[in-house]
Amino acid sequence: MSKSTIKFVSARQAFSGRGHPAVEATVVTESGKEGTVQCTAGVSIGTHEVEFVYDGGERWRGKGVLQAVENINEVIGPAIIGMDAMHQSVVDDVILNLKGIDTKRILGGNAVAAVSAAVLKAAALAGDIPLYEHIGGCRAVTLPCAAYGALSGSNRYGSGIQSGSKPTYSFVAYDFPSFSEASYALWEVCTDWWSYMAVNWGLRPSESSYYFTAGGLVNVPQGMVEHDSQLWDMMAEVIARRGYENRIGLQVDVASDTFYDHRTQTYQELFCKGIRTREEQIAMIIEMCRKWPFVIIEDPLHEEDYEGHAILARGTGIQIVGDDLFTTNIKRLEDGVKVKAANTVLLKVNQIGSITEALEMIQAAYANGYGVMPCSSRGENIDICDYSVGINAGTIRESGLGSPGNRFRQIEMELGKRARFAGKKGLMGAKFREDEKEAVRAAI
Amino acid sequence: MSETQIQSILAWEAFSDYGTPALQVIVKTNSGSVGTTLCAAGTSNSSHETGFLYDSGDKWKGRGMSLAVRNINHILAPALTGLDCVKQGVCDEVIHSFSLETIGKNAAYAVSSAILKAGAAEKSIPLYAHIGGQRAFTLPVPSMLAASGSIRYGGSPKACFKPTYAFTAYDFATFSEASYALWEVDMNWKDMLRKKLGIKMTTDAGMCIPPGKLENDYVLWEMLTEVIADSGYEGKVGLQADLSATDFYNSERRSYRGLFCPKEKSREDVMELAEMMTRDYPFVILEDPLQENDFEGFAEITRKTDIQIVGDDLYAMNPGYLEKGLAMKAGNTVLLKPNQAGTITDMLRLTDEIRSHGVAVMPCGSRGEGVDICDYAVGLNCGTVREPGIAFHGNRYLQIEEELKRGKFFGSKGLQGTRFQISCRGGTDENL
Repeated sequence: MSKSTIKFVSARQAFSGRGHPAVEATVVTESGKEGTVQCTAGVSIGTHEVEFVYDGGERWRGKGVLQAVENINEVIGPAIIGMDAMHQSVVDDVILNLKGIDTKRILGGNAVAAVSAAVLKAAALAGDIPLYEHIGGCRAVTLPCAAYGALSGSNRYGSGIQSGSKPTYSFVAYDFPSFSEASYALWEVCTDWWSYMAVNWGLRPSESSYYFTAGGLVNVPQGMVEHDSQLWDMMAEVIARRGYENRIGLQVDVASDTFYDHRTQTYQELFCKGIRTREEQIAMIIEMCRKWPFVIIEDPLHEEDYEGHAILARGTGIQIVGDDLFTTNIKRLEDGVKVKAANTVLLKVNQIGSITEALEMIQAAYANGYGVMPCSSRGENIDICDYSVGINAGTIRESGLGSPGNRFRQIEMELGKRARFAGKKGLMGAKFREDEKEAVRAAI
Repeated sequence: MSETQIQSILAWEAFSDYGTPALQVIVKTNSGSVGTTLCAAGTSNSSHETGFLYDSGDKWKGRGMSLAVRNINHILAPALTGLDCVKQGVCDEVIHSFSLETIGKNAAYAVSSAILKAGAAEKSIPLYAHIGGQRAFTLPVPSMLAASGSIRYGGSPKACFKPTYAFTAYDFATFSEASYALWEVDMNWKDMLRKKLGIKMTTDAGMCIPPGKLENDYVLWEMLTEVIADSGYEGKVGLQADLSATDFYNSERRSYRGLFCPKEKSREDVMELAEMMTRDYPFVILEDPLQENDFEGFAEITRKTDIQIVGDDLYAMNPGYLEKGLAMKAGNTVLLKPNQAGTITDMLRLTDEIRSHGVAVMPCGSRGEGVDICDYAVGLNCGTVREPGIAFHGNRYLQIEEELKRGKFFGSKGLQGTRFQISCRGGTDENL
């Protein structure tokens, strides 16, 4: 028996801070240290996501997870007690085969994800090493570009289809020598932005926290602007006023599925009133990237349009991220790679199920020249920073300030001279790579 | 070499989740136990607050903490290394051997609170038990943010989005029941905002209702009252308001502008409104209903109403103002922002001092305490605590309730004011 032998597994239902409850799992090793992890469903849920088990009924508006909790306490937990948490893939294998091929559907993707991630954390603690090092070993030295929220808001121009708080916009600080310098510049721009919003519109940004890392988003309601381009102008101006042009850029999560009407095959009330065909949407995105300092665009087209995502990856030269497009799913990624759709995969660790599957997906993405962009929206909390460094991600969703920013700065200090800032090269897309610039020019 | 000895202390400049500059400290002991805390710059504009050391100059917009960081790394760290981290009082004495004015209250608090956490880790007990020992078995009345916004009627954008309104769940048998009721009301409230005002609100974005959506705040009070009734919690869930009146006060005209509605208000108008809120709406807690120098007015509101009246900007945990206000019963509760006090020992001494006047303390975790504020509330047997009482803070309370087994929920008795306290002493020292 070693320090990292799994001694005890428990689970409970907890508040997630996103409305619906979360599954929270704790894995205790012989060392006495415990790894606790939450798994929750997101606000926008791609149709290709792993299935979660919910209680139904009235309480918690049907989104209770006591059944999933019981599945951990009664089925998953007992099966892995006595195993070595250091051997993540062996443990995951046992969990994934508990009910044959349908394990995740029967026991709940939420139950499986929570336990698998808790095993990872418990092992790091038992070994007394930081989580990023447990994930990536000596290779784990990259701090990602620093990004933080600027805007969110749905239904600005009418009802939309089923929009959450999209599109969301962020500032991304990339052309700096170190993470600390990038995050300080980001702080200057963000605080200017928030003052502007408070003074002129009486609006305040969302706060990040240890548990929910994305912060800084100001929800702009209906009636404030006629077209999102007015907001793009404002954001570009805040960056310029601080003198950070071409060093801080913009990121947008369009979540276009939530604006897409499958019947008429059009995008509705996205960026402005009215509807847009697929071709118009593609033209719009390309123009956005030419006129405004966008460096990352996520889900610019609906989740089945691989071909369109390929056109945009070529046509814009910037980082095109697939979230609903890939749903952290290796099968869907492979389909995308075939046509060169997008160039980056959004990684929601708890979305896929087990850690091993997530690592396999990351490997597949890297092997095909894709970037991986971690995102904490399924309960990964501040551990997302360690995941990011652990896999040497070049970019990460809004995590550059507040609690997550502090975690990155702490890791930067721990790594000392070994720390490497992803910077401009952390961004995917030919525009950010000298050697590929010619190719873009040719394509455009 | 003892295991509980402090081996190292390291501080660095950091961010708070609120967007303000902060400093972060990590204390490590010989045995490998760790205590990490964050100390954030203030956002409120109380002139009664003193003692934080900020850098001068433009960097961090004048609120940088690099000097405080240097004081920790070069002055406090060498002096504290080798001390026993479990002996909080001894460590705090050493901190006090330097002048807090030169070292910075922010530096002192950050180090002191990190030692406190390292001490709890060293003893392998929860933070609340390290603070309050066996006495720490009570759970406070939880609240949840409902609305905020300062410029709706011409108020100042510097008012940090005040007034803030919150739901407070008090008349329940256990904390879990209270927190579930809060969750239900919170969900129904967000539905109501969507339906009636056409806005989608999230708690992490401060529930800020922008200008143009409401004619005045009285409409908002009606809506808040309605959602409590619709949820079936009349008389069990109430309302809390932090008016932060100083931010709306114009000292030249001696009037309040942009508070609740566009109409300019005299001191008497506001006092009348406070009475009206107590009488006609389910408000159970009012914070800073008048500007920070109006001790008389605070005392009068406390006498004329039967609910909890909290002083935040009024006191800012400043011993001089506490002495003045406590004697005349200006408010029956003092807001406790731990890092305004200095060291942990200072905070505990001030808390005792406040309670000896029959006045309660209400912890507020707005300065980077994170969920540790829950442990402070339990460790100090506080009857109420500033929101949030669900979400991640809720999880911490639920965990404590579970650990304590017989964790006792304050219920209505957690609130100050004659409506809730049988004894008319004012405050009941929050003893059950």
